[in-house]
Amino acid sequence: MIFFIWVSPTFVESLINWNMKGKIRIVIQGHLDKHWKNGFESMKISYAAGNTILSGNIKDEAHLHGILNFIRDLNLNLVSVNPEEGNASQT
Amino acid sequence: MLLTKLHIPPAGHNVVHRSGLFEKLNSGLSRKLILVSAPAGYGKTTLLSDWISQNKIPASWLSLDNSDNDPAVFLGYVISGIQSIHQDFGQSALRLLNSPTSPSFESITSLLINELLNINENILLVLDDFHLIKSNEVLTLVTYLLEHIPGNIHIVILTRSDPALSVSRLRSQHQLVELRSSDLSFSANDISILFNKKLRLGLSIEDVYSLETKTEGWIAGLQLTAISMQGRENISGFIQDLEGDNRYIMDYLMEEVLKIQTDDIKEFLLRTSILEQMSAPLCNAVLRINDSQLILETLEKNNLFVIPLDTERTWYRYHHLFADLLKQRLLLQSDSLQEKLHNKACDWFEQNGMYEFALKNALIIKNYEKSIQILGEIAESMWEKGLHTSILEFCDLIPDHLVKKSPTLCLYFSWILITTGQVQKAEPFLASAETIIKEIIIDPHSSADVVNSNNKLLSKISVAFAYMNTFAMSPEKVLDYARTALKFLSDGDSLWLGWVWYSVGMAEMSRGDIKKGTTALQNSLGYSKKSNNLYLISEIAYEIAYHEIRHGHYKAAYKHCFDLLSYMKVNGYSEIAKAEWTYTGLITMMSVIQCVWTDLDSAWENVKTAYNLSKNEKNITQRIKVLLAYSYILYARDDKPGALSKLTELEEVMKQFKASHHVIDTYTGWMIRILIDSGQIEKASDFVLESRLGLNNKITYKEEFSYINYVRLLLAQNKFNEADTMISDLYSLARPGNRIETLVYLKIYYALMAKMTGDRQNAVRSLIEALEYAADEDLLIFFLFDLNYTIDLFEEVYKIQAAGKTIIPKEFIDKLRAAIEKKKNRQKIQQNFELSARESATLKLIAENLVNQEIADKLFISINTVKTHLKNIYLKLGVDSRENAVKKAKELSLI
Repeated sequence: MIFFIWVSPTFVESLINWNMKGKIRIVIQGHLDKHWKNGFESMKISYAAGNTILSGNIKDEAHLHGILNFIRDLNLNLVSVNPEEGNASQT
Repeated sequence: MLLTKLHIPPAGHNVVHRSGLFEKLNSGLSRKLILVSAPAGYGKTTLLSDWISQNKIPASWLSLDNSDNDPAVFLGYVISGIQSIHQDFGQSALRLLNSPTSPSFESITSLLINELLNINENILLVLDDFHLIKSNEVLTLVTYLLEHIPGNIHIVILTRSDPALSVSRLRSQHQLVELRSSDLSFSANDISILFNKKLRLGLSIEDVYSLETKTEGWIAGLQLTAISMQGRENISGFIQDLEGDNRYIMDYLMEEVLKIQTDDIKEFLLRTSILEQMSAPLCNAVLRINDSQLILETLEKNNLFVIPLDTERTWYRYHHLFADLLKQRLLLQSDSLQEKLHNKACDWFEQNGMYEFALKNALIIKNYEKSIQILGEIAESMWEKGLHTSILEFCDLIPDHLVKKSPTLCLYFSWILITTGQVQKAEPFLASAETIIKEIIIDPHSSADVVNSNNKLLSKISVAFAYMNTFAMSPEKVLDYARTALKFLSDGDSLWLGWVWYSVGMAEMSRGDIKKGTTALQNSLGYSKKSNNLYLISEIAYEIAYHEIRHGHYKAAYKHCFDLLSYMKVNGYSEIAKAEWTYTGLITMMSVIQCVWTDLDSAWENVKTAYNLSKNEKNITQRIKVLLAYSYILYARDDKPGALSKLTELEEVMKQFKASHHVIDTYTGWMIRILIDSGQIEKASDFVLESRLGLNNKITYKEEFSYINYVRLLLAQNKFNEADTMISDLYSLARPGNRIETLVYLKIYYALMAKMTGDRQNAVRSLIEALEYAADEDLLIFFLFDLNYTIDLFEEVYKIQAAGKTIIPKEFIDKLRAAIEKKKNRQKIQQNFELSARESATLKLIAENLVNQEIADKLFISINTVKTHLKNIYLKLGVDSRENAVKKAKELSLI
C-alpha cells in the first residue's frame, strides 16, 4: 500500500518543537538517484528497504522548508520525517 | 511590464477535456474563490486554460513569480490583467502605484475594489503558481480582495500547496470550490483517451491499468511516459519495465526521453533549462548556435513541455517540473557550466535592455560585481516606479560592503529604509555614498559631466540626510544638509525639492520659528503638488493646520483641512483618503476645531470616524492625537467619565511608545483639568508634582498647556498670589507669539480670580478682554468651562455689549449666548436623569449588545448588581426595556 503523506504547516510546526536544528532523517518512497544530492543541500543519500533516506544537518526552519518543498515539487512520496537518533539538541 | 506574465497559457494539443472537472469549475462561477491545490504536474494550468477557452469566460490571467512578492509589482499586474478585459479599469490606481510616493497598498486595493463594482459580467482573476507568494503584505492584500470583491468577480488560485489564506471561512460560507490532486489525477479512462484516442499508441486495457497504478494518475508522469513510448514497437514491454523499476519515475522517464533525442536537442534542453523564459535570440546567444527558433518550434510540436508565452511565438518557457528535472542533469555535467550559462544570459539581457532579468541571472550565481553594476543603473527608475520592496529584496541578497560601493544604489536603498522606519540601518549607506561622491567631485581627473552628475547626486543624498535628521530631531543638521541639497537641485526636481523644503519646514517648526517653518512648508506644498506626492501633501496640510491651531487661527486651519479633503475628492482620491491614516489626522483636527466652535455634534461624529480609522493603524502618533481630541470633545459634551476613559486609553499607549513633548504637555494639562472638574483636587495636586511642574520653574512653550491648567488648580486651591505670578509669566510667554488661545485662557482666569477675590468689576472687564481676543476666530468653548462662576458675569457682559461699549461683534455674543443656553439645557437634562458612574458604564455596555452576564464579567461585579443597575436606569430614564433605555440615552447624549 502506498500512501502519500501531505506535509501541512502544522505538521512541520510540530517538528519544529524538536528545536529545528540538528540531525534529521527523511524517508522517501522509492529510489532516488544519488545525483539528486545537489538538489538537497548538505544532505546525504542512502537506501534501505527500497526507499531513499536523506540524512544530514538542518540549519534552520527555512532550510527544512526548502527541502520539503523540493520533495513536494518533484511529487515524491514522503514516508517520514524524524530527528535522527542521538540528536543532542532533542528536548 | 511583462506581457508574457499576463498571457493565458494555451492548453496545448492533445489536451484531454475533463468535462467532469468543468462541471465543478462551473459551480465556481457563483463563488468567490476557486482553489486548485495539487503538486506540480497535475495539469492545473492546462485544466483552467482549457475550461476558460471552452466556455469563453472573460479571464485575467497572472502567472506569478518571485518578483510578485513586491506588492507594487503584484498589484500592477493584477490591474493590467483586468485592463485586458476592461480597458479603463484602474487607470488612476496604476498611476498612483507607479510612483515613489504611492499611498499604502491597502488604500490602492480599496480603490480597486470600488472600481470592480463598475464591472457587470462574471470575470475570473486567475493567479497561477500562488505557492511562490511568501510575502505577508501580498497575502494580506489577497485576503482583503477575497473579503470585498463583488459577487461577479471570481478569484482562481492555482498552487502547489495550500495558501496561507483563511480558506476555511470561505469554505463554511460556501464561497469556495476546491480541486485537489485526487480530483485532478487521470483515471484509467482519461489515460485511455490520452494514449489511445489522442496519441494513437494502442495500449491494451492491462497496459492502461498498469500505467494508472504506476503513475497514480500523475499527468506529468503520463506525458513523459507517452513521449518515451514514441516509435517503440513493444509498448507493453516498456510499461512492464517501467513498473518493475523502483527508481524515481521521472528519473527513469527522463533518461528514456533524452535517449531518443538528437544530441543537438539534448544539449539544447539541458542548457536552456536554467532560463526562466527563452526566446530564439537569447538561446542562440547563450548556446552559441543559430537555429534555436527551429528547435523551439520542434519541441513545441513534439510536446516536450515547452509552453509559448505569447501568440507570436517569441517567448517560451518550460513546464516548471520539466525544467527542474533538466537542471538536475545539467548540474551533473560540470560545476562551471551553470555559471557560464547564467553569465551569457545576463550579458544578453543587459544588451537587450531587459535589466531585471540580467540582474536575476547575475544574482543566482552570486556574481555580485555584475549585480551591483546593473542594480546601480536601474535603481533610480525602479524607485520612481514604486518598486521599493523589490529594491530592498535585491539589496538584501548582496553583501553590505559591496552595496556601499555604489552611491546611486545607496541613495535609493537608504531612502526606502528611512521611509520604512529603518533609519539606523540607512545611515551607514548614506555616509558611504557621501564619502565616495565627495572624492569623485574633488578628483582633478573627473570630467565636467561626471562632476555635474555627482553634484546632483550629492544634492539628493543631502535631501535624504535632511529627511533622516528630521526624525532624529536635529534641526541644525537638517538645515545644514538642506543648504547643500539646494545647491544643485533645479526646478525640475520637484519631488526632491518637495522633500527638502518639508525637512526645512519641520526643522524650523521644532526650533520654534513658526513663520519660517510655515513658509518652507508652503514651498514644499507647491513642489509636492507638482510631483503628486500625496503623502507629503497631507503631512504638510496637517502640520500647517496644527500650528495655526496652536496660534488660534482656527478658521485658517479649518480651511486648510477642508481644502485638502476637497483636493483629494476632486482628484478622485476619496477612497484613498478614507483608508489612509494621514487623513485621520486631518479629520481629528477638524473635529477639534468644530469643538472649539461649539459645534459639538459634528465634532463628535468626526472624532468617532477618526478613532475608528486610527484603530487599525500602526501609526501611533495618529492614535495618540485622536485620543486626546476624543477626550477633549467628550469633556465638552459633559461626559466626564468618557473623557477620563479616553485619557486612560492614552496612558496605555504612552507607556509603550515615546510621545512627543506636545502630546505629553496636552495630556498633562488635560488630566489636571479633568481631575479638578471631578473634584479631585488632591489628586490633581499629586499629578502636578509627578509631572515635575513647579511654581519656581521657568516655563517654556513646551509646557505651556500644562501650566495653563496648573493655574486653574491654584485657583481651586485659593492660592491667588501664586496664580497671579504664573499668569503673568505665561502671559509674557504668549504675547510676543500672539498665541490667542493661551491669552483667552489667561484672561478668563484673571476673571475667575477677580470673581473669587470679590472684585466683580475687574472680573467682568477681564471677561470682556477675553472675548475681544476670541471674537475673530469664534473661540467659544473656553467660555463654557467654568460656567458656574461666570454665568452671572456674562449677564453684565451682554448689557455692556448692548450698550455699544465694547468692540466685540454682536454675532459673536449671539453665538456665545446660544452656546451657553445649549450647555445649560444639556446639564439640566443630565441632572434630572443623573446616572451614576456604574449605571452609566452598564448602560454603555447594554448599547453594545452585551448580555447581563457579560456585563457582570466586564465590570467585575455580580449579575445581581447588574440587574439592580438596570432597574435604576429604567427608573431614571422612564423606560421599560433595554432598547428604549439605549434609545433615550442616545437622545439625551448620555452615551
